[in-house]
Amino acid sequence: MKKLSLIFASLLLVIGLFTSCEKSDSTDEIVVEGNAIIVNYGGYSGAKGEFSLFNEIDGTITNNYYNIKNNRDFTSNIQSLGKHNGKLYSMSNNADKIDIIDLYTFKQDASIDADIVKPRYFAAKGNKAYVSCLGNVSEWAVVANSYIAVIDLTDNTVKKFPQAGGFEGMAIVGDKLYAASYTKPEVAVFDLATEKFETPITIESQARHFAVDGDNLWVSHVSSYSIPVSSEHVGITCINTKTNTVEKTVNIPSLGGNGYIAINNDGSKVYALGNKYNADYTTTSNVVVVDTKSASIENNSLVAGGSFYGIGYNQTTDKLYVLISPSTTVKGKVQVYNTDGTLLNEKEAGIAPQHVVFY
Amino acid sequence: MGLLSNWAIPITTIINNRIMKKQQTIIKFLSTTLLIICSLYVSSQNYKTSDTITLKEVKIKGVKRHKYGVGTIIHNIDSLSKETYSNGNLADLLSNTMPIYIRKQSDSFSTITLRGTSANHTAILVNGINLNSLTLGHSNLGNIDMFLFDYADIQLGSSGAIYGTDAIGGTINLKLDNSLTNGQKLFAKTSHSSLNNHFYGVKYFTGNKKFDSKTRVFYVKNENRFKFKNLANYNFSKKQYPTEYTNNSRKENYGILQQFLYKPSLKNTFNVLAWYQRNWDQIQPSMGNNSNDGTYEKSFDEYIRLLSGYERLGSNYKFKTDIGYMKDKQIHNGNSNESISTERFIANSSLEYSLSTAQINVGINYKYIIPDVYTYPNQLDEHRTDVFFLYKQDIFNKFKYSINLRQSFVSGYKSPFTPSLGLSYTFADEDKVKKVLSLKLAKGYKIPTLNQRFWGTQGNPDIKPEKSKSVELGYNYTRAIGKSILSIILNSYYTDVDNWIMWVNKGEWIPINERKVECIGGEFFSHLKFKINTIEANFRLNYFFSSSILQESETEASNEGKQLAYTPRHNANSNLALTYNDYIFTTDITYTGERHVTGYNKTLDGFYLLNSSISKDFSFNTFILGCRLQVNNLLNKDYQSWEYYAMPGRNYNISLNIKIN
Repeated sequence: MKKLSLIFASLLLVIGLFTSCEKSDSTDEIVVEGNAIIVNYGGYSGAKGEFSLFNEIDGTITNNYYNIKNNRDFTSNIQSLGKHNGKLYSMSNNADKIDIIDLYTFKQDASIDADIVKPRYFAAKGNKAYVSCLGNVSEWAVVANSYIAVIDLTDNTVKKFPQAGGFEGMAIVGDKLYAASYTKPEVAVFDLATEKFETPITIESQARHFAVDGDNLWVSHVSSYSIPVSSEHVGITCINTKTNTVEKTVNIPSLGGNGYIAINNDGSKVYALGNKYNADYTTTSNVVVVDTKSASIENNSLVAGGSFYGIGYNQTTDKLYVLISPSTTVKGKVQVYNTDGTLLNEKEAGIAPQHVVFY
Repeated sequence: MGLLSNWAIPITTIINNRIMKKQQTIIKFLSTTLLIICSLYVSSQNYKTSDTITLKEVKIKGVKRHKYGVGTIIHNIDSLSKETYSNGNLADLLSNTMPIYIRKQSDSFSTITLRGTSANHTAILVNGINLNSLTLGHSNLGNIDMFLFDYADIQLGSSGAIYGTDAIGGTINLKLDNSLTNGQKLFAKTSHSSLNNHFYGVKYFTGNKKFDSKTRVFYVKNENRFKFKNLANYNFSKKQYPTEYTNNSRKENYGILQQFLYKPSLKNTFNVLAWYQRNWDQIQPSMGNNSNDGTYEKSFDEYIRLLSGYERLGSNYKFKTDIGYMKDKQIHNGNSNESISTERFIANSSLEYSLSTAQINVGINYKYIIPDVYTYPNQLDEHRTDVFFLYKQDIFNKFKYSINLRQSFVSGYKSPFTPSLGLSYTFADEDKVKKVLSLKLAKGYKIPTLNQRFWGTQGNPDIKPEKSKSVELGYNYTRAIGKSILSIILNSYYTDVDNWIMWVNKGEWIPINERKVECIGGEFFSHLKFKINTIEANFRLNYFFSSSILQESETEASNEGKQLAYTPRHNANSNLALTYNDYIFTTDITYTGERHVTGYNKTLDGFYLLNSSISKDFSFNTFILGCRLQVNNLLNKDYQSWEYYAMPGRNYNISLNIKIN
């Protein structure tokens, strides 16, 4: 009996140990609720980009998150991060590859580097991912070697669909992929079924990023150093994706050259990063709020500061994220705001934070 | 009252913080100085205890100084080190022979950090011509090929009053032999390394008592190919880091430097210098991009430098004047539409007058600069004029002082007045011992680069010049011990660099006067020259301590109080050279301390490197054949000078040279 008790106790202990091991493994997974991944573009040399895990609920941030989870440096600049089917896809533009990271454990187990040159932004539907690639660039006003990479996510093989002029932001609405043309005043349209480019949609200046509100697709368009346009042509334009026609345009003269925008949950507001140039060679950064219904600027400076480098909107919690990057040699910040512009939280992030992905 | 007290608290805190910072600064400087005084005391003790040693045949010459740089020590690179690295570049020479941190890609882009300042704060001069790029502000030491120059010296610390812009952390002087050749001399050298690097150079000097021609030609073709463990390219299927060969690291440089001297009489000398150099470099990728040919970059540089001068030597005066033309051109990635070039027309004149115990030098330097950069405004040009006054007096051969003044004038731009004061007192000057104590107060400055003022929409024409204030205390001790000579130099310094320019993101990336940096440090140099039977030996041991702390910065506030990135606190080197008959054996050990990387995410480990060489000269009737075998990184250390840039492990270099006199 004693022996039986001993065996039973030992069994319990072993089961307990295994159970505790399982628990230990499960704590390795990220608690999804309230989390955001901040993409730090990084400096131009050394370990370069990194990720920060920010939790909106308890207000904490964990920097160097990739290194912590993978025990090595990331070693590429990161343009942006896509999320799809339990995976994160990092557009590691400096290393010309896409790094695939598990959404929950944040461990990397694969990368795609064949036929990927200067990846910028990501969109996905089903088993296909679409990545805008600049290709090798000799002239930024031409961007002759750009293409859209279509990735079969079942085996990570890549098919290239070239079109000169460069692509930046991407969005999928229905069965069409919309790609912001980097050098032309237009939005490229790519049919997902036929995998062919269709007639592009003309807008007022070179396109940058999208914000989707049902069938309405807002695109930012900017002036750049390579292709300057007058400020009256800078702003955001709404495209009706049912007809692929321009519905309305809002002029935002201060919209920055990166054209970063974000949209709220009900699509009533678009938030854009603006810059105001002062006479003393300093610049003030602003978050400009556009009322989409009236197609007018509601607030030219909901949030003002310096060195704004990225923007995001958490549609689950209705919080506005502003990413601040003073230089590529110092750590930046993430700031979280209420929609009335009240600062709720501020944390130090990595170098040059510029993109945020919400869980 | 409540409001007042609310304000008073932060103001008091700020004042207290500033007072505390100043106190800390004073404590640091005093402690470094105290170390020097202790060492001075110890060396005096040694002197007293070994007072019985007398040797008249060894005459102490003391430490070389700039004529007007009292309190500033010039460190000559000795001829052996110079010859050892003559097939290499300035980065190789300095990193192997001095405790100076050179941030290097293996054989490509290399920049210098002197006394905790940036690469933009070191002037690099050839016969008075500043080689630093007018657009970028610094020089790539990896492309300054040492074969062209006959002498090199380093002057540490601010010397803006003597050398003008850039001389904040120090000045490197590369010099040419200006003596007349009696007959003909030929020196040819070739070297080949296990990195598949190849060098060929010829110097031909010919002349008589009036006319002299010196021709120097070199050609470098470096593959710079070596194996390394790629720590940025993890193989997910094999679960290991791969071993790879370096890619895109080739270099092909060639240049010719021609000097003519004409000396019709003892008093008059005419000289002409013509220098053409062409550098083609593949820019070594970081480890992450080693196999990513889409990211490979290359650079093409071309330099034309012409200088013509006249010198008249009177009984108590020397008059010098020269005019010149320089063109620097750079094309990145073969894109000739975006070339960057600057042309300079220069004219300099100076008059030096000698009194019984004093010397005065007054002069004017003029530059007319025409940049041609695709992002600059059209028809941009600039006039720069410097006037200077240098004065030195020697009282009773014991007490020396110098007062130097310089004012720079830049068209449409305000530049600072730059004075310096140097004092030295020799309190022992005998056949067997010499002891000198020195003090220097100096200002330095840097005129902002053309890019910082005129680049596209981001350049800021009103940006202020970077400026420095420094104080330096030095002690030199030289003595003869038998047939040996021991010299020790101890320096401590404090330098405050203000208006340090950084490119920051204000919506657009713009340059602003961003940093205030406090550099405090100490330097120890020792050299023992001795003889064991027929073996002549030279042993050097040097150590630099450099604390370079960010004091104020709006955009880098989180880094305030920290050591600047890529600025090691500790650097040391040791060199032993043994000469036996026609054999020379050398060994160099260098130590580079740990460094913060940009962004302060981590530190790079410190590392030791050991290089060793053996050479022998074979004398024949009409010529001398020299052979040298050199092993670099003998211990095969895996290290990074610049984060994630591969550096070579153990490698070999064999060189042959012929001297015909």
